Amino acid sequence: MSSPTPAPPDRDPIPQAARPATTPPPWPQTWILKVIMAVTGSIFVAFLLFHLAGNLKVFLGAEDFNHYAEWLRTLLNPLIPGSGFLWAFRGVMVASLVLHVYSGTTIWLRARRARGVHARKFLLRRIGSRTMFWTGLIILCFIVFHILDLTMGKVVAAPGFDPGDPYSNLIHSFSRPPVAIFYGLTMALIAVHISHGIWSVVNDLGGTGKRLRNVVFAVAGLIALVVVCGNLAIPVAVQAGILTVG
Amino acid sequence: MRLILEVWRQESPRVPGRLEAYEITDAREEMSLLELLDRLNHQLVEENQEPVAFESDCREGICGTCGIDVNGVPHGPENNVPACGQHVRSFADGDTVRIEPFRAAGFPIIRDLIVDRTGLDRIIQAGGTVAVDAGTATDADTLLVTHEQAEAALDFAACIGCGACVSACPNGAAYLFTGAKLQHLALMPHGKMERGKRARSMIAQMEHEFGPCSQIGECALACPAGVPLSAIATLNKERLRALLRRKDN
Amino acid sequence: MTHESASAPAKKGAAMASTDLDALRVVGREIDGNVPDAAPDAAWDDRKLHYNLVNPSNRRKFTVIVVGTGLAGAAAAAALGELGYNVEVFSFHDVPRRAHSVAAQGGINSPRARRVDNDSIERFVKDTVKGGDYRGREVDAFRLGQEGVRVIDHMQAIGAPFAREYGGQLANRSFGGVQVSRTYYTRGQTGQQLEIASAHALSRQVAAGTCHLHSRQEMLDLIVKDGRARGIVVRDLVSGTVRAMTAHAVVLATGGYGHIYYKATLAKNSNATAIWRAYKRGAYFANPAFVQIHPTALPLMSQWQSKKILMSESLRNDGRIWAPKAKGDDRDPNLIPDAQRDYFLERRYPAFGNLVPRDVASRNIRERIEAGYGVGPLKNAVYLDFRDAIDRLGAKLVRERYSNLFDMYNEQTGEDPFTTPMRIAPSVHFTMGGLWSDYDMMTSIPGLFVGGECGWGYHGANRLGANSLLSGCVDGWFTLPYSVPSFLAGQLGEDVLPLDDPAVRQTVADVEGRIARLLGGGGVHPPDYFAEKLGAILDRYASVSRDPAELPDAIGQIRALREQFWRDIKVIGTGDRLNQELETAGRVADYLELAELLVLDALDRDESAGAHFRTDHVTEDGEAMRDDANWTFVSAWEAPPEAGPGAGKPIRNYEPLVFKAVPLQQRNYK
Repeated sequence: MSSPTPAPPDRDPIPQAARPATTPPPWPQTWILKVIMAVTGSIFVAFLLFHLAGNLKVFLGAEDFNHYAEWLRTLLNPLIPGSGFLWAFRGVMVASLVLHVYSGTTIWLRARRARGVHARKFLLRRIGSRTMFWTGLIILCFIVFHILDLTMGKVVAAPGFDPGDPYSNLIHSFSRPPVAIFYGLTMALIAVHISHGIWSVVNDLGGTGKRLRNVVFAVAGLIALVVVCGNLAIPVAVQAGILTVG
Repeated sequence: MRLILEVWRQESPRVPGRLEAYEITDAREEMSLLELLDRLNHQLVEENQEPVAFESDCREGICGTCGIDVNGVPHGPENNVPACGQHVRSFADGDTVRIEPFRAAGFPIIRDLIVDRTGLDRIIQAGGTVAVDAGTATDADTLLVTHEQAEAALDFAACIGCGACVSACPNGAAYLFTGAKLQHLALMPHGKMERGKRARSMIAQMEHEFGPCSQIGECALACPAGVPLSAIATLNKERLRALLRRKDN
Repeated sequence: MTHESASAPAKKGAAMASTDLDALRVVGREIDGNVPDAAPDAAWDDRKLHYNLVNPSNRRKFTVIVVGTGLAGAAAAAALGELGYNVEVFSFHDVPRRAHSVAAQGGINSPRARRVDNDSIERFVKDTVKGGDYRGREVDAFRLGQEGVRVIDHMQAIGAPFAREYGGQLANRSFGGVQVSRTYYTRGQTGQQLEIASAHALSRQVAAGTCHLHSRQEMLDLIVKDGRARGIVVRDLVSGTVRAMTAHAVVLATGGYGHIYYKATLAKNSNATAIWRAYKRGAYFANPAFVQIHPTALPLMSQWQSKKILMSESLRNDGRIWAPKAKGDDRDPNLIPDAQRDYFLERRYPAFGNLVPRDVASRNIRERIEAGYGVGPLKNAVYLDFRDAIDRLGAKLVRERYSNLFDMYNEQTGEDPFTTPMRIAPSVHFTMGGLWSDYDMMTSIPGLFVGGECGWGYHGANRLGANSLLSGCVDGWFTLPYSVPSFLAGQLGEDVLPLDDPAVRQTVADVEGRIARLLGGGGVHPPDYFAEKLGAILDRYASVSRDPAELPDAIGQIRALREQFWRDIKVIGTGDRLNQELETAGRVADYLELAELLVLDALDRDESAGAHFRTDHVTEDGEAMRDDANWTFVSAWEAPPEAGPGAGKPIRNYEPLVFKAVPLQQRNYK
């Protein structure tokens, strides 16, 4: 209803409080990045549970485990021929990973800028939230290692890698104590990362209900616990000699 | 009791600051932390030194003017209490207490412990308002508001605008502040009319000057008005709602 | 009231006064409140009809300065901005929302009269006028009630989340001894919610470009030329720069001067400089002696306690006030048996007991303390005991009723009122006096308007609980936006005073000179030293009761202190940057002058009225006794002329008060 009437400079020598910016903020806005992280993170959590269920078939023996691996490769045949589905799935995973890492890094950089030169005191409250970037970085390294080790069989794989026998590949890999330890530690970090991640999802997607928030908070911890315990069971069993080749 | 105060001294925004140590020998348990600073200043003035510049006004926890970091925690060691309600009894005889200004890139230091918090006000200017001119409002009794809704609005409207949430945040984010405003006005009959527009403009302005939220939760522990952490989810909810609805309300 | 009877007080005042009084002040002339010539309940409509209007396209050609962003200031600025005027807003805070209006707890009155408890605008006026002991304008109270109805609607619309009943309607309660429920509230933070809503409305105009916000700028003088207010001089609190801004009209909404008592319930930065500078430039100061003292504040518990904190009056509903029967009894209060406790309010006022009005309670508590029965480390308090209430009602119910107050007490003192009686003491917290204004809120300087506590309106000699928030809102939202444009209308085509005008330059030079003088003091004592001493003098002579035999003494002490101030003041640092010592020093310098006028007014007003309790005007029951025949007027003090017969003596002008709707009546609480 009123047009801005900037006073001429000679009439207004007294500084005015600054007004809101007229340009849009840096793109993409943080809330968009957070939504991307929430969606891609949720995909990863779903994948982790799915992956865990598959992994635990190792306890049923080589035949079941290898049969499951073959089933994965040929999923949705003949609708989608060959390993088409698997590659599509891998494509989604890679895209999610790229978006997740990009968003996370951008947020981390913006956070460092907004914090200013004086770092906050480390209050040991909600440790997961403060270490998301670093746990995420280690997990990223682990993913690379893990794919080289058990999917591609390159560089870090155990000797005698056989693409047709995932069961033996797994046992051979976990028979190496450093690999078993690295795997175990990473699982702990993943638990820390996803417990905070799942809790963040409910916030980033705008979950304000008291009950919803309490449930998600509890479920986040539970999922983290299941993932870490389930996955740890395998290297432990291998090292303890419970799982062996043949 | 005896306390060593390490106080941030900085002449102006342009020169670097430093911590300086002072000794108070007659601190008393019932003193508030601001009164402790009063005591220190009295001592400095007696010694013909420049007193420590710090802000305070109502000194009863409602104006939001005071703001200091005490041992790295906004306002002081007790959660959800403003500096004027924090007391020396939280410390032991002989303790060293580090007093700094609120720390965040969005709060540039003006002098000593005084920072510029007008960034929060610009978020309000961007849209934390209700477009009703004086005299045009309808009878408030004809607009029904449930008891529960009025109480919920007050939980968020309680924000005193002190900026502790930003200072507490390792990311320098103003999500708790902005979310509280969005939630408060979204619960009001007239405030609802601009809900979508408000979310877009306030959040855009917030992103200009403050950092991203990583759901750390320090803000809600520091907030002297006890604004709940769900204000952050509200902010995201309001923004997504505006995205999906594409309407002003 | 006829002219004869109106001029009587002047004669009477002169006749009663000792030579002391004549040596101190001059009795001036009768002044006109510019009250509409209509029935009191029709006055506001009549006046609005006669106000001049400004064409919407011309409004942005007018500049209005608003000083202060509390309830009245933020509202006036926002409303004028909404109308399209160019508004320049000044605040010494960093952001508008911090003004001390935020600290009001209880609520805001509004005679919406929805209940069947028989409330009405007329009843509201009666309560306000009677509560003020007939020393305010009746027509003002009518406007307050009439506009107060839509204040609630507006504040709700712009964001104040008023408490609601389960049926969805606005909740209200009775407050401050009024027998009807007309107080609207938002928990215990009504002031804060109203202030935030108003500050946000101002922010909306800042974003729209109609209001220009100048924060961290303190007004240090008023520019007057040809008898009209033309602008202000401010100091930038960060850079120290002193600059002027000119305008077509100036609105002061700078709050009360209660901080003159040093440790009051007011905020640390609340001060009287803006209104005192306006007084020095020719604005009349009304009833400076009318200062309200609240009985239930937290007492000072140590030398370093920076201020007093108000505890809601509601505590007296269930708490019992007592002092030990023996002087200096410093036993643990729980160890003092009932027989050795003196429930003095119940003893002296069997009918009202602990619920006597604020001023009566304050006086009695003060009397006990001064007689040597005070408790606490500084022997400056009495007990407010909930033991019997807890026995009678159970701890649960007491907790429900008072938990937030008990928590606040506990936070401040570290003591639990459930197990240890609270200690309370009276404290200054509101000033009914302030710049005199006519019915249009314009002071005696044309173009200078006031809003809120810095003016004198509505409250007479005593303010009713929950009426202060109302007066700030009504002034800012629904009075000044009518009356200021009417004044502006006559200036169409006139430009504001150029900054190089001699009047502007002189005022800036005056301010700079004053700052230089403060910085160049003798360097012995900091400003707080004098503020404390002044507070002690006022507290001793001019608080809950005033003894005319002692008041001249107080004036002598204030004058001596003022001389010492200018001789010994020590201001560390320089004026070219943020310097809080300098800010305080300037405020204290003005207090030292205002204090003398306050005491002079207390000495001059030869009656008791409301909060002004003169020990020589007491009823048989020990109540305040008004002298309606001689003192039914507002004292409007004019700054002393520099030369001539009355040089150096303030002039007490008077505006007679007329009561048509609420006939004059003596207060009685026995």
